Amino acid sequence: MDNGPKAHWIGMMLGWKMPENFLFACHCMALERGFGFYYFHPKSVNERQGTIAGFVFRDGRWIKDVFPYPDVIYDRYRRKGKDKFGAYAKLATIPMTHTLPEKSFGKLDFYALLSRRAELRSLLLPYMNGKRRGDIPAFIDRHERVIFKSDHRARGRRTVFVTKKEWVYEVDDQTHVHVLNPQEFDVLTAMFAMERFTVQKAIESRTKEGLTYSIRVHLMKNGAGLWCHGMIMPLLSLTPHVNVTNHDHTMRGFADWQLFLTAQFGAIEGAKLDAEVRRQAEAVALALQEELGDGFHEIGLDLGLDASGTLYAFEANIGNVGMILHEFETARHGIAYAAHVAATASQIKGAF
Amino acid sequence: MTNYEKKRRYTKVAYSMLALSMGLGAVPVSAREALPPKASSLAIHSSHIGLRLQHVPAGGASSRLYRGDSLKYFKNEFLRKPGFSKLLNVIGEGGGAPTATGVSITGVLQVGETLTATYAFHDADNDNEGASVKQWYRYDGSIKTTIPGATGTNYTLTSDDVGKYIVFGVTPVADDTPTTGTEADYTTIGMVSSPAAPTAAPVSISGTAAVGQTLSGSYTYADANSGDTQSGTTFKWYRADDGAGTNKSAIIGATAQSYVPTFADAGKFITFEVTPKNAANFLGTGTPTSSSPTLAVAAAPVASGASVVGTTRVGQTLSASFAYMDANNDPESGSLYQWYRADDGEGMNKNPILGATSASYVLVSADLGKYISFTVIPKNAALLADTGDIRGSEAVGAVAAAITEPASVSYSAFSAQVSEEESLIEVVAVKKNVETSQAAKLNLVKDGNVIERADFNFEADGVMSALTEASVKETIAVRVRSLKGAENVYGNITGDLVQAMADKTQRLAMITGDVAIDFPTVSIPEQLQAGADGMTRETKIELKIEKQPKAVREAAAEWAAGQGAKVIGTSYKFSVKVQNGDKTTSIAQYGDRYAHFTLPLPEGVTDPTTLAAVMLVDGQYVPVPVRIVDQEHAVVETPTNATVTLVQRERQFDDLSGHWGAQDLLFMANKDNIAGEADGKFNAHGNVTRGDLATMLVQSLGLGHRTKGLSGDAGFSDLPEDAAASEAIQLAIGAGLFKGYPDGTFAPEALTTREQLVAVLMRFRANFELELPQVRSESLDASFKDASKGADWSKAYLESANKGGVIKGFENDSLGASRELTRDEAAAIIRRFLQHTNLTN
Repeated sequence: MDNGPKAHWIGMMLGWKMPENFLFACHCMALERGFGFYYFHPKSVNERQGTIAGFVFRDGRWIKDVFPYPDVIYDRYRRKGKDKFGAYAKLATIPMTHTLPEKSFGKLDFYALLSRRAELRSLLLPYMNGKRRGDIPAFIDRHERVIFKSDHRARGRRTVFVTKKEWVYEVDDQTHVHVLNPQEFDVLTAMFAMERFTVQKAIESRTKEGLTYSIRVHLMKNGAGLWCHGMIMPLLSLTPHVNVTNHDHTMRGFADWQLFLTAQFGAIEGAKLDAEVRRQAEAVALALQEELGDGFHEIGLDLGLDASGTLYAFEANIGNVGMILHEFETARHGIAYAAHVAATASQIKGAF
Repeated sequence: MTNYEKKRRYTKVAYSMLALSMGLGAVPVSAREALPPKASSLAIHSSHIGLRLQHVPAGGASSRLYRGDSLKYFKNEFLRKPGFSKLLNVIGEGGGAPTATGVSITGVLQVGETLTATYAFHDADNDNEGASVKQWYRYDGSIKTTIPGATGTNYTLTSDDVGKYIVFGVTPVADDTPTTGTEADYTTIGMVSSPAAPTAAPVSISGTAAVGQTLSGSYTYADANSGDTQSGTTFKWYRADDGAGTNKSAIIGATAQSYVPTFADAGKFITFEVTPKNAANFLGTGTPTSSSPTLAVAAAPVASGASVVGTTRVGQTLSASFAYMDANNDPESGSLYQWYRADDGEGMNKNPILGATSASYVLVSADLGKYISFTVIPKNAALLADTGDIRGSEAVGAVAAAITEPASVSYSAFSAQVSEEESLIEVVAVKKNVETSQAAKLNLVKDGNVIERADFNFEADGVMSALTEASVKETIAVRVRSLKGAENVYGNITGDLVQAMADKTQRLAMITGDVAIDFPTVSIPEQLQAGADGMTRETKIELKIEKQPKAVREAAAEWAAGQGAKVIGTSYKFSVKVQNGDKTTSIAQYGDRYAHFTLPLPEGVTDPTTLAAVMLVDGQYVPVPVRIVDQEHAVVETPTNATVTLVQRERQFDDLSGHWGAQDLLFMANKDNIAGEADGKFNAHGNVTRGDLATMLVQSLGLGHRTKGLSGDAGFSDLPEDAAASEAIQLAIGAGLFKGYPDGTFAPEALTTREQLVAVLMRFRANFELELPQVRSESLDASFKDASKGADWSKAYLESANKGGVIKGFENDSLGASRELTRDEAAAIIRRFLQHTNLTN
C-alpha cells in the first residue's frame, strides 16, 4: 500500500468521534484511488496559512500533521449554515460532497414531498404538524394510535405513542405508560409544541416473533455520482415495549436483510418485498434529488410494513446517516463519490 | 459509566450475538468483554433470525404505568433538552494551549555582537501565532535576571553581559483560545566574552622585485576571540625611494594581496601593509602592519631622442625615430606607437590620430597645416621588465603638402584664391593610395562664393604614371575632398589615357567632397565600337556631373508623391561624352557593368531601409540600387548614365506583422523593387511567375530602360501584352538573367523555383562581374540536409550562393531548392544578393 507523499487529498471534516474502522476504510479507499486521506475538525482550518491540522494514517496509526487544503472535502460534519468555526466559509473554494445547509430538510419536508409526488404517495403515513394542537384530538380519534415525533434528531427519544382509551389518553414513552385526562393531555401537547414536532399515524412492523422492526435503507452516491444501495438492514427493537427501533437507550438488534426476508416472508414474498423496497428507495432518492439538487449524497430511509404488508416511509435523513455494521460500504461509496466530486471540479477548472 | 460507554458496550453485545446467530465463525473480542445484563434477561435464541434478547424490563404496559406526576415527568425529564455533547472527535481533544519548541540562540557571545533567538510555534488547533512574549535574561549559573527592554528575538550584548550566560525565553501565544502556553527557554552554552582586536603578523613579501613581475604579500591572522574569524582584511602597497622609506607613498589602486610593479616602481622599494579585520562590531579592525621593503625594482627599457623623420607633405610617409636602451641588453620588440595631430608646435588641440599606431604614418589632407608628433613605449621580448617608459617625440614643423613641390596649376581669371584648391588635387590609384604628382589641373570658375564650375584637366604624364603603377582593375581617381557645392563638375581626359586604363580594365573616378563619378573605362571603347584605334590622344572625353535645376527636382517630387515617396536632396545628371573630330557621342550605357554615382546625402538621412534612388530615363523614373556609404554620401549603382534622384519611401503592409523576413521585404518594397498587391497587402506566400520575377529583378538591379541594343530579343511568341512587363522580360534576358525555351516561348506564367532564382542571380553576378565575398565556409552539402535533392544544373549556382550568404534555407536546415518560389522568399533572396554584392547596404 502506497503511503508516500500525495499530490491529491481527500479531507474528511468531522465534528465528533467516528468509528475507527470507518476512518481506516476511508484511508484505504482513498489510497486505492490515488488520494491521500486525512480527517480534521472544523476548528483546525487555518485560512491565513491555507492549511488544515488533521490526522493521517501513517505507520499503523493516526498521526497528527498539518496539510494543505484538500482537493475535495468529504463533509461528515454537515453543519453548513450553523458552523460556529466558520470552516465552510474558509473552505468555500474547495469542492465538498455535501453542500446543503443544515436542517434544510426535516420530517415535515419529507412528508410534504411524499404527498406531492404521486409515485411516492403510497409511502406516506397520515400526519399533521404538531403546531395545530387543537386538531390533535380529532387526528387521534381518526387514527386511534398516533406517534409524537420531535423534529430534532430524536433518534427515538422524546417520542411517544398515544392511544385514545375511551375518554383518557394512554401515552407510552417507551419506558413508562401515562394515563392522562384530556386537560392533562392538552398540557402535554403544549409542552411538545415548545418545539417542532409531528403527529403521525402509528403503525407497527412486527416479526413473527413479535419484535418491532423497521427497515433502514442507506442510499449513497457512488464513484460515478449515481445512487446505489449502500446497505439494507432490518433494525429490531429487542425491547418489546420500545417500538422505535433506533432508540439508543435501549437494546436493538440488526439482521442480515436476505436472511431476514427469507425467514420472515419466505423466498418468494421476501424477494418481492426486497424488490419493492429497492424500487421505492430509488424513487425516493430520485425525488429528493429533483427537489434538493446535488448537494447531498447519502439518504437514510426508514421504512415500515403495516399488518397488511403495505410499505410506509417513516423518515428520510439526508444529514449524517448512521453506518453501524456497514462502515466499509459507507467508506467505499463515500470516498468514491468524493473522488468523483474532485475530478469533476478539476475538469471544470481544467486542472487535470 | 457514561451514556456513551454504555452504548458502546451494548452495541458490542449486539454485534457478538448477531455474529453468533448468523453462523459467523469469529466472535469479536469485544463480545467477551461485554457487560452482563443489568436487568433480568430474556434469553431467546431464534434460529431464524438469531437474536438473543436481553435487558428487557419485566412486565407489560400495566407494569410500566407511571405512578408519579406525569406532566412533571414530561417537563423535567422526558422533554428536557440534552446538554451539549462534549464528544468531539479526537482532533478536538487535547487541543489547547500553544507550545514553543526548538528554542535556540545564534550569534557570537561577545560584547557588541547581536544574538538572534529562534523557535517554532505549535498549536494543536492549528491556530496562528499571536503576540508571543519574548524575554532575554542574564544567568550567572544560579540566578536568572531579566534584561530590561530585551523583549525581541534579537539582542545586542553589552559589557554587563561579560561572564554571564544568556537566556532567551518565549511564552507562546495563539490568536485563538486557549491562547497562552508555557514559557520555553534556551540558555547559551558559553559565557559572554570581552572583545579583542585581530592581529596580522608576520607580514612579508615574496617574488621578484621587477617591473611586470608579481609580488605576493603574506601574513598570519590571529584573534584572541576564537569566534572572530577573519573577514574584510585590507591590503596596501607602498613605494619609497629607498629602503628607509623616503618619500613612501601608497600605490593607488594596489589593494590586493599581490601586486605587479609598473614603470613608476622602477628603482623604487616596495612594502606591503595588512590591516586585519573580522566581522565583530567592536574592535573588529586591527592595527595595520607592514612588511620589510623589497630591493629596488628592476628598471625597464628606455626610449630617448624621439624624432619624426620624413617629408611633411600630404601623401608622404613620416617615420618615428628614437634610441632604445635596455639595462639587460634585451632587444627591442613590439614597441607601441601613437601619432598625434596638433594645431601648433606647442601641442594646442593635440589629439591622437585614429589608427596611426605603427612606426610610420602617411600624411593625409586632414593633416594640412597641422603639427604631427608621436609617442613610443619601448618594449622588448624579455619576460622580465618587458615594458618601458613612455617618451614622447619632439613636435615637428607644420605639414604643408604640395607647397614645396606644387602640381602644375593653371590659374583661372575668375579664381582669385586657387592656391588652396590646387593643393587638394590627388591623382591616385585608389587601392594603392599612391599619389602621382602633376597629374591634373583644377580650374574653378566662381561667381562670388558660388563655384559655377570645377574643371579637372587631366595631365597625360601624371595619369599615365598613376595607371601604369596601379594594378589591373584598380581605380584611378582624381580627388578634391574639400571641393563642395560646385554647380557643375567637369573632367577632361584624352582617349589614349582612357584606352590605357581600359586595357588594364581599370576604372576612372572623379571625386569631390559631395559628388563623384566612378565608371569602368572599358565601357567607353566598347560603347563607341571604335576599337583601340578610336581612342587616341586627340579623342576628348568629357565627364560631367551637373546639379539639376529646381524644375527637375519638382518634377521628381511630383512623381514621388504619387508613389508614396518623397524626394530628398538635389538631382544630379551624370554623363560622359566622347568627341572624335567633329563627332560627339554620348555614352548612355556602360554595358553589363555598373558605374558608381556619388550624391550628397541630406543631413539626418541615415536609414538605408527607407532610402531609394531613381534615375530618369526616357521620361520615366526607374529604381536603381543605392547604398549609404557614410553620413554625407550615398552611392547609386547603375549601368546607365542618367539624372539620378534620391527618394525616401516607407511602405507598410498589414499582413507582414510577425513575418520572419519583414525587414527584408520592407527594404525591397521601399526601394520599389517589389510591389504590393492591389489590396494593399504584401501577399508574402504568393507564387512568383517567370514574368513576375523578371520585373522584380529588373527593378532590383536597376536595369530599367536599357537601350534596345542591350535588351534581349523580343522574338518570343508568348510575351505579355503589358508593355512594361514585356519590356522587363526583354531587359532581364538582355542582362543574362533569363533564357527562353527552345520552342520560342518565354513562358511568363510558368511558376519559378528557389533554385531557378539562385541560378538567375549567379549568372547575373558573373555577367556583371560583381564581387560576392565568401561569408560561409561550409559546403552546400554540409549546410543543408537536402542539398542533394537540387537539380544537377543548379548545384554550382547554389554552392556559390551559399558561400556568398545569398541563401540561408529553412529553420529545419533544409534548402528546398526545387520548391516553388514565393514572393517573400524571392524578395529575401534578392535582398541578400544586393547586400552581399555591395549594390545596397
